[in-house]
Amino acid sequence: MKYFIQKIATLIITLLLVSILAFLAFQIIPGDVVNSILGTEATPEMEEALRAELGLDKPPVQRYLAWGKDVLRGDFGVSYRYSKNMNEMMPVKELIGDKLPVTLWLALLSVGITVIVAIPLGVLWAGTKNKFLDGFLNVLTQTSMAIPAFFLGILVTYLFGIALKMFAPGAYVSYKTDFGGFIHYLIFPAIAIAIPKIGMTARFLRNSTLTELKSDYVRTAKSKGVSDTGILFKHVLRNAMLPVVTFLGMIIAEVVAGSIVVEQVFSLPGIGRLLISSISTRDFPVVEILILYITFVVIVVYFVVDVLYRILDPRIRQK
Amino acid sequence: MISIKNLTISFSGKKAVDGISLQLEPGEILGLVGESGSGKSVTALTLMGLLASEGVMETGEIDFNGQILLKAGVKPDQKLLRSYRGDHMSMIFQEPMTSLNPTMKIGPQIDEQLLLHAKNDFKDAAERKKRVLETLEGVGLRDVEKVYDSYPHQLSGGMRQRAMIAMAVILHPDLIIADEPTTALDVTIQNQIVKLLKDIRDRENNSMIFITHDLNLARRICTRLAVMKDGKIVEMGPTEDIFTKPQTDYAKKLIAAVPGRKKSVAVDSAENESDKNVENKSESKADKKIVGEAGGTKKSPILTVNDLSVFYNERSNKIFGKTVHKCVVEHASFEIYPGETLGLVGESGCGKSSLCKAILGINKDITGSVKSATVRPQMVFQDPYSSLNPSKSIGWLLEEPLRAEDMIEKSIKYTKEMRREMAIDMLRRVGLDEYYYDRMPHQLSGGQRQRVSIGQALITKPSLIFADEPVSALDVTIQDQVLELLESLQEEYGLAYLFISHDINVIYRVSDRIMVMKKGQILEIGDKDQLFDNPQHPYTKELLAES
Amino acid sequence: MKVFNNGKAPDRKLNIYLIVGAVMTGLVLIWAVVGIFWTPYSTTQMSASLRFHAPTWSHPFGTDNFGRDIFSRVMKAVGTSAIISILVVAISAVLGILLGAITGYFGGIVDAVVMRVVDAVNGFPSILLALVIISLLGKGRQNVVLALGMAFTPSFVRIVRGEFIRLRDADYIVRARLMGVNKPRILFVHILPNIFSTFWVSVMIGFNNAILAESGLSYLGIGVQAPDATLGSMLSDAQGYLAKSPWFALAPGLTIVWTVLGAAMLSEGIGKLKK
Repeated sequence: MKYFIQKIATLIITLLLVSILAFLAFQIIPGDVVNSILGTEATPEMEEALRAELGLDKPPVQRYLAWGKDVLRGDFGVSYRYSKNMNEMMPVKELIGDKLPVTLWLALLSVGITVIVAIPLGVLWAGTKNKFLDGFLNVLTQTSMAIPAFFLGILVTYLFGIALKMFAPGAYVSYKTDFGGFIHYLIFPAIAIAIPKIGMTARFLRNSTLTELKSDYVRTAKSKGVSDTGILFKHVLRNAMLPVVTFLGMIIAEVVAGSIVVEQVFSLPGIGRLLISSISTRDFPVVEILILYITFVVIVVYFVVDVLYRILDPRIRQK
Repeated sequence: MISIKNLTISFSGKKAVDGISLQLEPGEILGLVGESGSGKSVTALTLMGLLASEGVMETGEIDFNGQILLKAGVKPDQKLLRSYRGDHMSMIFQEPMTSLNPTMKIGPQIDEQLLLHAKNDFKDAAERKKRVLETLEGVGLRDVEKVYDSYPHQLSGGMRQRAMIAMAVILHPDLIIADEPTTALDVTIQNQIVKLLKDIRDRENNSMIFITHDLNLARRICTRLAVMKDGKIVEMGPTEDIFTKPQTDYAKKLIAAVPGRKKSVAVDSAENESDKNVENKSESKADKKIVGEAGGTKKSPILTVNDLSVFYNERSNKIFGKTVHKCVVEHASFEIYPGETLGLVGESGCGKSSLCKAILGINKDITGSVKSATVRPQMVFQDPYSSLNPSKSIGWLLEEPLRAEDMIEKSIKYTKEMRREMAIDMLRRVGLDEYYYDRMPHQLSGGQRQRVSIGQALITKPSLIFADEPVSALDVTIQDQVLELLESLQEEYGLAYLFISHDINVIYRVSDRIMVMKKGQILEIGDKDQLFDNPQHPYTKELLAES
Repeated sequence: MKVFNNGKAPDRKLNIYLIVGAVMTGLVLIWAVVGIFWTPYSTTQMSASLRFHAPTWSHPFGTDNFGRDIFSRVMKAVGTSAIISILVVAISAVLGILLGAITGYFGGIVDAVVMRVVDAVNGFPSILLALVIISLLGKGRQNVVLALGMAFTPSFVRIVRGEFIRLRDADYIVRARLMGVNKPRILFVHILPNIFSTFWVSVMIGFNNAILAESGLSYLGIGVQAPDATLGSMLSDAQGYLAKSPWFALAPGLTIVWTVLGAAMLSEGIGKLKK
């Protein structure tokens, strides 16, 4: 219990720190945004009015507190670049709202594919005595890790889209109109994200399994007469999976990053594309919220992984 | 009856076991003794059918009560071997912590064996559990229900080893192999485990093979000994015969190298050249001490420790983690005089090393005072592999204290040639030669490294040296050589030692005075003979019972 | 006792990773270095008549949508990527050694503060961090180097710090302190040489990540800007013509894979060497 309180407190402090950093980075350093929004033809009065509307006329601390309060209340501010119509500014919340499910589903599918393929592969690899299979898997995983996500995206597009015609590149289907079609389209970018992660995870699991196979308790199990399969599944696998759990946490964080690039390749309207375009146009309120959002997701993932690890490892659980 | 006939095992062409033949009668405990690399463990693992895949069985066969388990040139029948392992023969390993599966409870780990070999003898899981609990009680564990549901890390070292033994004996095997089963344990626990193994043998009349490097221990438990060297059995016979009338040169050397008071018996009967030297040496030491005391000019101490307490912060990494201020040494007071050896004995974790590091100023969290008459006393550590920087040559390592001294003391100026000369001179003094100047640490054996360590400590000529278990990681014969070197250097330079060891026999051999420590407290300090003949504290008595 | 087996003779098996990795990396480096000074064709000159040529003897990788020779452009781009990546690794490795050595050896308040920051940043994918920094600094070659250098520093700090913590209480370091060796000498003469095998492996991994991140940034259009050819921007251009001329994408893509794979093999070879 004490552990959870500690963990949650650390989580909150980290978020607070990141929010301060993000605020400093995007609202103080870039200087005056008013000019860049209104252009050169604006009158001083117009500038004043916009400044007051955006709350830029107040001192930084006050601005941070006001901004923080708004964010907690769910008001994420307005975009500098997008507008709803001639008179209304575009709230960041609305901008992000319908893009979020796209990225989340993409990440979920990628992680799912990674886990389903990598874990049996890693165990098979560790268990095999076949030198050829061992070498083949080594080269295969090594190569998979050397392909950048966007090139993989292009290869997947060419192979499944253009050559095999399993999907139409660029013809994204919204989850609102056809959920099945949406998932069908997402599977291909998810494969592109998952391939290098499968390579990494399988290698990691294989190495940790081989390390465990050399440990003393395996020798004890052998001296009891346990068979090789029994040793692998009953004794070794649980111990070998422990470091993999932490590793998967890292992989999930990287999947989030990978999805940013891959969304671009497959023209997916997710938050990754929004982030890139906001960075290109220096739309700071949007970038700021997206960064905070991704940080939040990453921290929560690590938190879950940590809890999972404690459940799996009795040595830490009962300390 | 179990027999090994003409067994030869090689690893990539190199023979690890060379033509061994052994026979075991029910109820006997055969000790396999010898130094590391002599082939003891390989023999045992082969007997269990657990030889690593790189090992090749070149000749020989293993006959287990009429069943040929292994035969050279015949592919081992793994299924047959598995059915024997754990049922007819079982093994106890050195490190009970790592030898148990860390994520599996004790009960199921033992139960697994019943499931594998005797599933049909039991009606259901409850009946098997009853049997496991009985066995756990049988190896002297209390509160067995709780032990059954514990993970290995929740038990103490002694309890873990008892659980290992329970695992080994639950199916009443004909053969139990114990590979250094007490080496990782404290002396007092060691005694209990040895007694337990003997009791089991008395009860069940199984054969045992007891592998150890510790001859004193072998003498206490084994009925018969096989002395191994370079993969061969050089001598085999009843234990007391080997101790009192060793036949071969190697056995004589090995027995002579065993530290301990009982040794003199062996020395007398063996009438060996080198043993006489040892005796002479201890006489000369006794003389020196008399000069030191009766000469009576009350030499001023070289080190005075007054009311020293050492603390240790147990800090967790979390932001809100509390810092626990633990006291590991409480109110220690003692002195060390020039030219003497003060032996410090105690079990692992009693605070010996903490005390030592506090005096040297490595641990700064202390109260009390340390007054030292010598600048920069040096230290020799236990592990010869981690006490030399692996990326530097031996010459560089020996010169480094000189370079450091050069930088600190303005009055001292060494040229490159002077340093080299001093380093080579020191190599000779510690029994190595110029050849080693350009070698790297990994090219040296454990004993050679320990010699370099000693040389490195001595090259700046300190008058006080701290030796923290300097011979515990070495084989007995090497141990003997290093102790001899320390003694001769002491005479040559008039050095004082603070000599730390858990081994009461080693302490007896080297010390003038002895200090006994337990749980951070100094229980007793006294002259060696006085302390041995008339121990005051009950804990000291217990310790001495093992010598 | 068989507790210590460090004295074992090293495995003399042929280190295939080292050889293959060295050859692959060597070839790329030669190609890149030549490309900096000389290319068979101009990398910028366009030609309407040469658009979308499939690979031929005179244009081994074909030509692009503006009729430029892809072989020459890839050559130039590899050089650009390699220089950027080497600079990135150099910046982050030097910073990593300094910060890692100091925090790892001394611990205390500085360590706590630095590690809090490093931990917070480390959990964060480095390409994201680079994106944030670039969004503040703006696009362009120098900013890519700076952004990636800053983004990669934490992982080096982490590795170096871990090694220094592992070694600071090693017996031979305790003994060096007892000899009175001063602190900088302990850090950089006594400890540093012992972490090189770990360090070189992470340098190679860092180089790979830098290549991947740099090409990722230029693919997204926020890295090195046109008209300079980079592997990422070439892929981005090629994507639109995938159905028409797939070799356009294949050449820069496979070059990245070749380079990264070579460096990965090399680092595995180095890792095996020291064991």
